[in-house]
Amino acid sequence: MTSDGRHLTDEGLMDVLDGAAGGSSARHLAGCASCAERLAEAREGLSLARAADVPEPSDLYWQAFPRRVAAHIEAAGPSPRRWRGWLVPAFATALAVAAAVAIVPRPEPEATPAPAHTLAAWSALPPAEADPGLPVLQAVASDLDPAVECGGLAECLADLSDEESQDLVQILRPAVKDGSL
Amino acid sequence: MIEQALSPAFPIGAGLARPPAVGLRVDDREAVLACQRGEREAFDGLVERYQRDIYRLCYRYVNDPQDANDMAQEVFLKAYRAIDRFRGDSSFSTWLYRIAVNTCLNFRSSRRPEGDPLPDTLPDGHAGVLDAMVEDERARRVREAVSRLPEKQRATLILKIYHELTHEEVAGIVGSSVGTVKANLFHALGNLRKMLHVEAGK
Repeated sequence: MTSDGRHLTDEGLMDVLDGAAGGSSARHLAGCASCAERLAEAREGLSLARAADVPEPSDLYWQAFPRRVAAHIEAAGPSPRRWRGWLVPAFATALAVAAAVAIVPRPEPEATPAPAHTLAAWSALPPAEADPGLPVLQAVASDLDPAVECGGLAECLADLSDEESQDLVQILRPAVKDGSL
Repeated sequence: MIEQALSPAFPIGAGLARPPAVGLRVDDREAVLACQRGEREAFDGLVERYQRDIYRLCYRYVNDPQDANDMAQEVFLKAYRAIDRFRGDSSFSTWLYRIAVNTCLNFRSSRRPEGDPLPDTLPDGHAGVLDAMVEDERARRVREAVSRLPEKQRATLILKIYHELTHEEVAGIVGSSVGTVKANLFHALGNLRKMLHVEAGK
């Protein structure tokens, strides 16, 4: 028994096995058959465990192993985390582009050249500014979401002419450069 | 997926990557930093340095060379994928062992364990051959018994006895206190002895 009248704990016996126990453990073991027996069993287990070598593969195996690991990494594809790493900024950029597209005013279509000879039927129409319905139309148009106007963002982008696309690039480039996107 | 694979028993640490601590082996530190910069070839050096340790750990865990090979490759794949999160709080080898032990705990072999049964009749030969065969058979029985220990006891015994890690290092890998590691090891040794004695009919 130890000085407090108890057997050695598993941890204490392990310390004895490691040679790290104090003198009180040794004194206890000298007078306690139970603890001495448990210690002897653990010592035998340790001796048995140490007798088991692992069969060693050949040098050729070890030479090829890094290549097999590299192939395994290659076959497994990019790690999900790395993929998420670029997805987030890409998604943020896409959102910023979408927002920019939604607020960029679309260029007015080029005016049709006036006919050389004014037809009488057209010349009889009043000018647009004189139309009493124009203020109403303007009020309605100002409330329209530009994205809705072209049926959604994807449609807006798809409908852009080359010239409009270049304009959009010109508009977004400074923002991308200064990191505000 | 990777987080799930690594997390169940012993956490390997998470959070944003930061430069590994100065306490790392210099060659490990340089290789880890290179990997974190995206230089995959730098990982080959780490594989070469630790392949034997990891293979042996896996082998002792499953007692099968094919499974050990598959597991060791899996360990390095997981390490490569998680290396951005390696912060250098522990040595690289401790971190790698932690991944290996988690991989071992999660591994379920699709193969039946293959023994190396002795032939019915032993060939005539000089005593050295017979001794070697007896030794091989004894070692096989011990490996088999080790692979049947409860998981925590098995991990503790393998890391402490065969990889000669300190109790503190083992505790860091298996996520237990030093006292628990010592108790687990003590039970593992006792159980190993009992299993081998039962097999031997003692």
